[in-house]
Formats: sequence, structure tokens, C-alpha cells
Amino acid sequence: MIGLLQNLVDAANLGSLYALAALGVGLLFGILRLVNFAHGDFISIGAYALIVPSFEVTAQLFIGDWNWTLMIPTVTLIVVIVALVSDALVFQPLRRASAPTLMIASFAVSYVIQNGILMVYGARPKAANLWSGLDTPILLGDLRVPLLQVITIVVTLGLMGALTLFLKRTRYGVMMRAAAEDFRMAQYLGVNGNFVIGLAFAISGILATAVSLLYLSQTGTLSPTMGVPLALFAFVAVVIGGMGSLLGAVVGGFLVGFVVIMLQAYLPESLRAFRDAFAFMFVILVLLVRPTGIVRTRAFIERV
Amino acid sequence: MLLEIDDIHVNYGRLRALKGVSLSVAEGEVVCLIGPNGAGKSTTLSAVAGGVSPHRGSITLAGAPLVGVRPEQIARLGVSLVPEGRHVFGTLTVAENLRVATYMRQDRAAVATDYDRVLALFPRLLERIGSPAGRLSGGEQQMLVIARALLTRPRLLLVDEPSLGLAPKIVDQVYEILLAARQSEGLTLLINEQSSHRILKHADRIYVIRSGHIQLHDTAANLRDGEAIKRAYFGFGEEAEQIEEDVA
Repeated sequence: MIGLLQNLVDAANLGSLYALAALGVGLLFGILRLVNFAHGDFISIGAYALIVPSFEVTAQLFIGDWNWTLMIPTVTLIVVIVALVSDALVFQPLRRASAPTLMIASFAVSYVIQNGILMVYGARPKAANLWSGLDTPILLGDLRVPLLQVITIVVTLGLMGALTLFLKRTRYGVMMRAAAEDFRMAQYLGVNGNFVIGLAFAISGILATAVSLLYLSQTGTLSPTMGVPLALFAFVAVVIGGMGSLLGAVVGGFLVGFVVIMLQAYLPESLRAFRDAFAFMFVILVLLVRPTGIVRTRAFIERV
Repeated sequence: MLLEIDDIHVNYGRLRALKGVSLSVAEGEVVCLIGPNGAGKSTTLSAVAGGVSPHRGSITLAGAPLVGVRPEQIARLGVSLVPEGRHVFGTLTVAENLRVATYMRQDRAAVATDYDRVLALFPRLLERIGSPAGRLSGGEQQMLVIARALLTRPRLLLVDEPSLGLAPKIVDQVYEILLAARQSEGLTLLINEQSSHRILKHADRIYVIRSGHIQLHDTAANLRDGEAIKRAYFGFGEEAEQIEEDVA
């Protein structure tokens, strides 16, 4: 019983990270039809921004050592700037390009960022100790929950709430939802297309930063490709959640986290190495049953 | 002239959609562009609104060039397009759909009174103000996109096939509202239609377009008997009459 509860908390924790990453991916897909493979690298940037550039194996915190009230806004700003610059340099000139072209361009951005990190920080993974005070467990009866997992889940729910409020209650949020549904029509009504896309990149950068900080503080390891698996699972989450639906991205993220943790916990020892293969088998099953994803969009609500 | 289109050419890949279209609309006029499917009506309106870029020719609004200007900037200059097929934001509520149209406006006080005034023209929308626009009927959606366009406070309203897919009774309502809005808002209208019979009553001037060319233009009064329109529309005289007889 305790074991199951423990696993459920782990699932909520991992699901939170996937859901946050999936929201960042889903937001850009909704507005730009861009499948942004560079999202994982935005996450890596957020982590590497914390340390002193060097080829040392043990990372020395720089920005990461600042008080969190200053550190979080600074790192967020750096990632948002990287996101906005990649929009301005790469995606803006491709505004009229097809979705596959955009996706390939995002691969290019991804490689540029990864190799940039390689040049500045070296290829070897590094150990970094961010917020080491936070891994003290909280005891709930017999259940031991690391404080960090609680923070991860709370921060994720908080960010989702804030994003929902932003999208529903503010004019810029309403503009973004309108543009996500019918970009050209929104422009015909005077909504500034580049501004809305920039906003989406900025928000996706903020979400990526949250993942960087939470993920790094949990794993304590940096590597130039650290964001790639996160982004991969985020895509999976977006696809099984329902392309174009933010709710779907969140549901998909938590579901993927749940499946991965449960496989990790209950697969026979000898098969555990193939955990991800089983996870993707599950994804294929979901898509066979519901090819449009769990949360159906648009076509569902539209009526002639 | 408020709108002046001069010899525009538009290609979609290798398809030549417009092969030199010229058209003008004076302030306060109702001008109708009629022609069969695929003649270039929608392309002409999109070109004005900035949705497609002509590779030759010019478009000016009160003297200001529009070719190469982004759609959102053209909207700010006072051109509002109601595209064919309605294009409501389905998951946004009716109120949110309407609000999107007002965000670019600086005159916040006027927006509030406009909002009430426009909604007074559409009592049905007021009843459904909180529902997602995707759940409205086709007629209601057409009302919504017109109301939304009016809220941008356009100098020139472009309406692409307002009667497409609507019951005749609803189409009459749509036209009543457009013409009422013309009176109350001092609108200039450029409307696309496939058929001429309804438009002859309401338009000041008519252009007939076929395969990317303007075939004919004249005042509605001169075209009242419909014969000249028929010839221009079908591109042949006797055969058109023959078809007419066969249909009858």
C-alpha cells in the first residue's frame, strides 16, 4: 500500500515535469503549427545558465548560487531571450513555410544550441548541486515524500493555474487563443501575428525554465543533451493528449509520467531495461484506440 | 475613391487566379462583385485585406498603398474582411470573439458604446453571449462574424459570399443587417456573391468577374434586366439563354 502511494507520488512528480514540457511544446504547436524539437534545448539552456562556463566535471554554480528571488527571474530571462532570438532568426523568416519545414528548422535550432553548449561547457556530463537543502523528506505516516517532489507538483499546478488565468482572463490570452484557432482570421481583426507568436515563444521559455530548475535540482546532472528525453516524452504527451489542446498536453504529460513510473516499479527486473520500449508500446496502443488523442479538439465542438 | 484596385495579378503556384483586375469603390458606396465559383472573387478580397500578395498591380485605400502590408496593419487602416465560410473562433465564447476585434482600437470609451450598439443589431447574439461560438447555428455564426467585423469600426467592409450555405430567410436577415449597418455606421461595402438577383436590389454598382478578369461593370440601375450580367457571367450569349430556358 505504502509502496503504491510512493509510486503514485513519483508518478505525479515525473508527470509534472512532462506536463510542463508538453505545455511549452503544445502552446507553440497550437499557434504556429510548429513541432518545436528545440524545446528540450531551451530546457538545457536553463540548466547550463546556472553554472560558470568551464570544461570542469564538477560544475560551479554562478547564477545558481544567487538567492532564488533573483536567480529564478534571471534564468527565466535568459531562456526567454534564447527562445525569442530563435524565433526572430529562424522561425520568423519561415512564417509562410509548411509545418514540416518548420519542424526541420527546429532540429537545426536544436543542434545549434547543443553544439553551442558543447563548445562552451564541454561534452562531459557535470554534477551540480542545486537547492540541496530541499531533498529532506516529509513524513506523512509511513510515506516519505521528498520536499522537492512536493515543490515540483505545487509549482506545476501553480504554473498551470496561472497560464489558464492568463489565457482566459487577459486580452493577450484571448488573442492567443483566437490566433491558435484561426491565425489568419485573428490577423484580419488586427491581432499582431508576430507579437502573439513572440508571446507564445516567451511563455514556452518560461515553462522550459521551470522544467530546467526542477529537473536539475532532482537529478543533479547536466549534459548537453539533457533536455532531449524530456522533450521526447513531451511530444509523446502532446500527441496522445490531442494535438492542439493544452488540456490534452497536460493530461498526456501526467499519463506518460504515470506509465513510466508504474513500468519502472512493476515490470519484472529482467525487463526493466526496456522500460521505455514498453512506454512507447502503450503510446501506440493509445493512438490505435484514439487516433486523434485523448482530448479531441475543434472538430469536436464545431457544428455547421 | 476610397478603394482603388489597379490591374492586380495574383498567382497560386502555377495557377493564375487574377489576371489584371481593376475595381474601385467610392466612400459610402455598396459595390458587388459577382461571378461563378473560382472566378477570383475571394482572391480579390483577400488581396485587399492582405491575405494574398499580388505580384503586379496596386491597391490603395484612400491613397495609401496596401500591397505588401501585413493583414493586421491593413485592419488597423480600416479594412475589415468577413471571409467566406464564417471563421468564428469556435472555442472562444461569443463575447470573446467580439472582444478580439476591439483589441487594436485605442478609443476605449467608444468601444464600450459600439459594443452595446452593435449587439443591439443582433439580439440573438446577446442571448448566446456566453456560449462557445462553435456551438452557434450557421446563421448565428454569420451574424457573429459580421458583428465582429463591425466592432473593428471599418471604413471599408469586405464581405465574401454572405449567403453561402444559409437558408434564404437568414440571407435576407444578413442583408438587412448589412444595409442597416451601412446607414448607422456610414459603412462602405464591397460584397462578393455568386448570384445577382438579391444583390441587384441593394448594390449601387456591380462588377462581374470570370476567370480572373473583370468582364463587365456598371451601375445596378443599368443592369437591372439581368441580360448583360448573364452574358458576362457565362461568357456567351445565346447558349446562356438556352441554358436559362432549359432550366425553366
